[in-house]
Amino acid sequence: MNNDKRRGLTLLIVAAALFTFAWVSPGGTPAFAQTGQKLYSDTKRSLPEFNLPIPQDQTEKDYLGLSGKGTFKIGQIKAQVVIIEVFSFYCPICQVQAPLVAEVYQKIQGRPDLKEKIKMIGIAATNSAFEAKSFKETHHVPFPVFPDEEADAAIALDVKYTPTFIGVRVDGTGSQEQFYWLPGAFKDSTKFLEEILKTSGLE
Amino acid sequence: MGWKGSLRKSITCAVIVVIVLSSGVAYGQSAILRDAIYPVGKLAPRDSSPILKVGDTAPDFTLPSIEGSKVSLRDYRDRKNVVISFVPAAWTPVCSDQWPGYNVSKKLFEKHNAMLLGITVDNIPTLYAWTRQMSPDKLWFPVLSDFYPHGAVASRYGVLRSSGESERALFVIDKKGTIRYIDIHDINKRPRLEDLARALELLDKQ
Repeated sequence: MNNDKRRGLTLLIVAAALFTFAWVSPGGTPAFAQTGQKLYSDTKRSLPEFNLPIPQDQTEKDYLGLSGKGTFKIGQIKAQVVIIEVFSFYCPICQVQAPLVAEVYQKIQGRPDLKEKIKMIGIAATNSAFEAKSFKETHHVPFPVFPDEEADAAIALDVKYTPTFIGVRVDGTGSQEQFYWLPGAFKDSTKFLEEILKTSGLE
Repeated sequence: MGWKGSLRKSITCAVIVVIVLSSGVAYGQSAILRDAIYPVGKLAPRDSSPILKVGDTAPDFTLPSIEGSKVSLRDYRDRKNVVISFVPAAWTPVCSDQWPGYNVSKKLFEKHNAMLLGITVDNIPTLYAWTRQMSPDKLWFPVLSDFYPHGAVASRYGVLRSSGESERALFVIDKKGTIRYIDIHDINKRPRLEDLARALELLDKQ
């Protein structure tokens, strides 16, 4: 083999090896998960830590069981389970999905045995405060929504595509264990809630 | 060059290849077009020379829309303000998010008596297929093709890049046809909606 051929072959092999390495995240999860594929749904893992601002609105504070100012972590929400929807104002699926997500919230609020146990929040990935507020108002999102303009939370959660739904078990003292991960939309709010109840151990 | 030198050079090249291929990865992108989006990587923020400024008369144009009609800027003279949104190309990151955001912001445009015109250098069938993926219903604003002569309107607005795509640019034009706001944005980033909202509010004060 002459030098040119050998160099070309080496380049090909090394590039393929490095690209394969880059394609797979450190946790072994494909960096580009398929819509509807549930990753982590059967796997316990500690939710990566990130901070969100404590809402100024008292109703939202009361809903999440938070007080004061500053920031909070998901594990500090007063509940047993937190459903996080990572969405974007600019995401067509998120726009279509919004009524179904609101249905999940209404179903939880309509059940006295669940409304204190399950809380929902939205994280507006790459959206400014204005854009997140516009989404909340346009689609009548009934739960607190947090802008994530620099995608700090999305990066911490490794959410590359919206919407992504994440289920987290919490105890109000800081523990935050991820038990559910749905990249992509769901079609049935009842089935989605059933999955959350089942996989969280609440039912 | 010996075997070690060849290996070292190859590894360097391979690392560059991987960085380039991986640079298209972003967080929080819409999943709807995920498998169809071409990863363009990071591009030069701007690649054209501005030729228009605020206060200039907006160049008139007539372009075909995906609905089959032709749309001219002068159609809106004395009736509506106009926002022109040039986006670089169909099936690329950022562009595929930007218009769905405008699609749910119809009230914002209506509030300021403004019509949005979306323009790319793609041909009509491509634009038709791409925008149909953005919404179950058609977009509320005209989507116009600046395909042939290629990028002629983008060129007259000073936003045609050397690669043949347009810049990611916003022009706000008042009812008299005067340009009131220009944002030739970093092509890699989405313009914030509030900046456009502020530009529209300024129209009301004039």
